[in-house]
Amino acid sequence: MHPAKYTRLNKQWKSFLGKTGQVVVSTYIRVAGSEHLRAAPYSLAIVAFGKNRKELMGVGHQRLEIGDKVRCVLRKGSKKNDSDPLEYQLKVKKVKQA
Amino acid sequence: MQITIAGHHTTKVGELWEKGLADLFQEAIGGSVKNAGIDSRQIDQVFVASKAPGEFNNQLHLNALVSQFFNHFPPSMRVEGACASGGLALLAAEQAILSGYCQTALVVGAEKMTDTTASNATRILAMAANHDAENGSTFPGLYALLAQVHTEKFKTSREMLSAVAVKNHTHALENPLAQFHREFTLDQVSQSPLVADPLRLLDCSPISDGASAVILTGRKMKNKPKILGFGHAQDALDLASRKDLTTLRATVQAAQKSYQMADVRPDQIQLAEVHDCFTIAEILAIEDLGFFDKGMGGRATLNHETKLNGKVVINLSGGLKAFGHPIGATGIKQVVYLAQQIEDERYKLGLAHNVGGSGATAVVHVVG
Repeated sequence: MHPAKYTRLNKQWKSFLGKTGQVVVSTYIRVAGSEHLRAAPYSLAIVAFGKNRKELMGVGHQRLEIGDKVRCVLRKGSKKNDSDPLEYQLKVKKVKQA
Repeated sequence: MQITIAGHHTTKVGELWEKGLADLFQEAIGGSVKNAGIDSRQIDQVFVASKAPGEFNNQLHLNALVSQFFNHFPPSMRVEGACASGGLALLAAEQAILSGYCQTALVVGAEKMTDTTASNATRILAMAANHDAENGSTFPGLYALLAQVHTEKFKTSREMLSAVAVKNHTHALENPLAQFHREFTLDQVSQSPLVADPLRLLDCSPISDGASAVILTGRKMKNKPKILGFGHAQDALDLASRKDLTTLRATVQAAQKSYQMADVRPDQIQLAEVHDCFTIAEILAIEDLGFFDKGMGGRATLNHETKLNGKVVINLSGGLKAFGHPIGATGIKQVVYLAQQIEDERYKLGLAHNVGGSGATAVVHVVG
């Protein structure tokens, strides 16, 4: 990701970081784009944080299901190459199964 | 409204190693001018559709590239709206003709997608999602989310999704321009590798090369198909911002506008080319276009109501699924296919439905 864009997105982290939400719907992506090849397979979910909804990746290879309670956490993002700088991104981690 | 489809041409769709982006444009344009039987100098304006030629082919400024194919360098502009680029380019041409700005317009769309790896193509396609709000998404992933919601609410089954793919591959057997000429069984689709649960490889439209062109005119021409109505609508780009994930609101609204303009009802449509980028997309489309009640699209497909000789024939060309999905060309080749069927007197009234992204843009045309 472009460093300037990364910096702008970082400013939104505090709105969601540490908050718990519920999975509205989820899929498990097995074939990823080149940006996220190394992360696959991973969950992609729409999560409801109260009235707000946000699309987020699940941590690691964790499978998320509809109704799961999740917490928004900061995790390393995907890297295309080993030499790329580390990027962090918001993801969700299951805290209670539906 | 009086817009006539004076001429049209679609290239073979598939992995076309011998042809570059410019070759595809030239073939479609030459074919459409020949089909129209007009002097190319009669073309007042050109509208070019292509989703990502910069990413796929390192080529931008397509309006100039295409205008240069003509000796008289007609004014030309490129229109981009993800997978709805073709439909939007048609709309721009129609508005230009109806406003009196031009009398005869060429609309041409092309995409050359196979010169890169599958993972890079997946990345390029995902640029039509909201890149900041949908990080990690892929298009199969976004439609998989829509499929999960539809399944949860309406009990849409694996077999119903597979029935869409089976039907469209069967239809494509009769289309010589189609990318695939191979039949599949329900089991083969249902057991193909998972891409994004619940969508499998054979639920997905392919990566394709191809081009398509139509010449539209405000001049009166007998025995040529007409654009009877069109509609265009938008919804939120990211899925999380949508109110309802069981329907593509943009499709509903675009369809209503096109039916109103054409003064027809959904039950009068005999043939529809709908945007089946994924099997669930066809099920959503046939419900949102008003052919079937909400939640019943999967059952109708499984019951063969959308096959040749069914209640309404859906994607007789093979659709995006089997005819192929050269993105910029797709919305145009749908209308070209309908025009050909009407000229051949197989059908009288057809509908084309072209969607951008996961449903944020929709364009509907009624042709008769």
